[in-house]
Amino acid sequence: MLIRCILAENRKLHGAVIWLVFLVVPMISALYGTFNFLQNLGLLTFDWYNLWTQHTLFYTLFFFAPMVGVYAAYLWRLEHLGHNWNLIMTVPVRRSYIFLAKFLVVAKMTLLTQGWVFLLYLLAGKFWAGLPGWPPVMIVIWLLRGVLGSLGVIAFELLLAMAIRSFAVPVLVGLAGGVSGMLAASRGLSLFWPFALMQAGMNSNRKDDMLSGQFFPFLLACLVWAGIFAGLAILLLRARDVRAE
Amino acid sequence: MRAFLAEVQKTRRRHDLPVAVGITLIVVLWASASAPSTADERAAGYSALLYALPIMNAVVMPVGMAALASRIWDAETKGQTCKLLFTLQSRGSLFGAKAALGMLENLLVCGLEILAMPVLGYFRGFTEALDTRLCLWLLLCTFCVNGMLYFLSFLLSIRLANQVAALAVGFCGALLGLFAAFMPVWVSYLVPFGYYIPLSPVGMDWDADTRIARMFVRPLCWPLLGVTVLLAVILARMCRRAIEQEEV
Amino acid sequence: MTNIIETKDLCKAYGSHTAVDHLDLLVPEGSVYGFIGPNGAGKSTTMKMLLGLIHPTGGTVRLLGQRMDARNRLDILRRTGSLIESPAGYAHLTAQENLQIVADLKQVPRKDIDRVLEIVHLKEYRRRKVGQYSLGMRQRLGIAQALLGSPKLLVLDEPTNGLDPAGIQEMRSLIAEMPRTCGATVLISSHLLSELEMIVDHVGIINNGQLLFQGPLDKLRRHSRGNILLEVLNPGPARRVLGAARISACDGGDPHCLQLPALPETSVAELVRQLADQGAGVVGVTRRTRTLEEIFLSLTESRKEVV
Repeated sequence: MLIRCILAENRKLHGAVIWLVFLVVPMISALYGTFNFLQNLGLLTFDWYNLWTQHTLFYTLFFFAPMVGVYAAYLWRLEHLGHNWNLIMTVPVRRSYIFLAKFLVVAKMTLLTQGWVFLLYLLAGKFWAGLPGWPPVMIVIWLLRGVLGSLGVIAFELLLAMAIRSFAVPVLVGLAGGVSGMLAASRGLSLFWPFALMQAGMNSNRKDDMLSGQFFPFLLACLVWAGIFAGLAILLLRARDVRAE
Repeated sequence: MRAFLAEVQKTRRRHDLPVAVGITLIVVLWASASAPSTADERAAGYSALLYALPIMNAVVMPVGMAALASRIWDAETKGQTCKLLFTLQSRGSLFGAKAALGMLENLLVCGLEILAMPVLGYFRGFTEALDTRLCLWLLLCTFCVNGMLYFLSFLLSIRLANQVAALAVGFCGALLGLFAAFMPVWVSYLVPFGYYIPLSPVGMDWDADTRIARMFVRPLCWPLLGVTVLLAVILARMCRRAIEQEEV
Repeated sequence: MTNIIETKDLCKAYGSHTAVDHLDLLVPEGSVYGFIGPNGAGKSTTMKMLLGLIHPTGGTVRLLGQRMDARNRLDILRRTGSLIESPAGYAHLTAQENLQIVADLKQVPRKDIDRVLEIVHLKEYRRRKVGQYSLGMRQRLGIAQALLGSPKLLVLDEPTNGLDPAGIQEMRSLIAEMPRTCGATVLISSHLLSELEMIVDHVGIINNGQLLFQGPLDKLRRHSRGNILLEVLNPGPARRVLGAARISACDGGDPHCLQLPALPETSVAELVRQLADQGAGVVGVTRRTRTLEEIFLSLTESRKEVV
């Protein structure tokens, strides 16, 4: 049944404008990253790791969380408009599935975004910067870890977008979250703050692994945060009266 | 005036104030958290702050302004109230009222930011004297760039009923503006979203060899400020025309 | 006859305001039940509670023989179709795509989409975006969504709102046929009794959250037999006959006219015979029929009047 809910959510994304955000944000990031990399070769070593830091630094710090905010806000806005709340709450589907389906769809979009980031990184490194060889396998692992790290943010943004009928607030809060995540990471509190998990997973601002030997605590933190926010959202869905306007 | 009061009425329960304060709060908390801690750095605390704030503004404000502008118009889209309003008041007055409210919110956002500076300096123990002139300069520049971006977002909200557009543009603009600021200076002139940074009152010399950064006060770039104001006026006129041409 | 909907002491309070007040709704199987009351009477709130969209502050709901609670909710919803407030739909998707979403979630085969599109006459517009639909078309799409999966119970909240007369007519015949064509029981609300008069067989009249009347439409019609106006040549003997029969009469505007309360046909016939015997000189007996609308208005204006 969850599969059907996911299919329904996927269908709602047909022809949706958020795909434009999906395409553009990583592109800007890649353009700037490569440019900056080539400009600062005096300071940076000419290798795939350094290109990685340039590509993903700002993207993971400031723009990833608001982007998830855009995805989340868009999915809930569809229900906030018209009387669609009445519709989704009278289909014979468990309320938790309605939330989980949205969660998994945003997670899927995040995974696709990461794939797009990797493709751009590969193309820019190979054909623009002309880096020798292929990117290290670690990069792919970091990208996948980034998806894990984003689960808490996804659940949080979905909870926010569900409870607040404004499109702007989740995006703005995402931005604040990104900043807070950066600050938490700089104090070594990455595992205790959902917005820092994505940044830690992506290893975006340094070459050595931020999570060496800490993968399992990291995984646990990701699941706990996602669980907390998803649980809250489902409780809210069950307890609150439907108010369609 | 009556149009403006009506506009203020509409902000009730829309929580515009918390959103505006929230925008400033993001910047201020960020600045506070990244404020210097050593005695040497505290001696140049305000200079560093005046240098850092425009960069933070370039990340936060484009999204913040898009949020404020899209909310102010989305109320009419959601309520489908345009057809009613256009029979009650002139379209020009509707635009004027919304623009005035928006600029007040804008002033609140940058005013609070400036007011937060001495507070922040006090708690972080800055030993440098705060130069009021530079603060006003920062206020002026932030207000103008904010205003320009506000009208851009406003225009997008009127033309495209979908709020996603204004937010997405603000958000991609922030990304572009931030990047442009770290590219050769002529690039930064091409991306209005990032004008906060070339207009900033304090510059930084970074010596790659010694790896020492030095802050310095730079002259206000009047032509760029002029361009900003001009762009703001053009965008505002386009908003006005968009409202006048809006078919309901 | 079993009841498809049964509520007991159903209440919903918002703070100090009571929207629904101890409602005992009984909707018999196979009926088209008109749920009627002025705007703000509590119709939508009741219907939302039936569907589990909002939580009652008191009382119970039984639908299709099961108690509406967290355990049975899905099972009940699977056999229910609904249209609450104005119709839902994703504006950027076509009618076909919108119906596919609902069909998937209801676990209904895609074939059923063709059937419901046919019923609501939207087949030729299926590929058009719902954002470009007129209000009437959206309303029909809403009905189509409700009809997917041939539900045993249809809950329709003012489905004719905003439709033109032709659309209302079409919607009426569509709904009236539901019990026969789909074997469904229909609960339909409206603020106009006249609008539902032709299609419903049961009515419930609600005002200020309280049920004022509930039962077969015939029963309501029987109450519509209004006062009797008696015209006589000699009022004196007439009054004596009426006094003996314990029928209260009041002035009918002129001394030869008397206004009598509603009486069954047999009593009227008997009364006329006695009046003739006593030389009252009956000139005319007129029954002043109240329309259903008048009953409805009198019911909802003051709840003291009892039918």
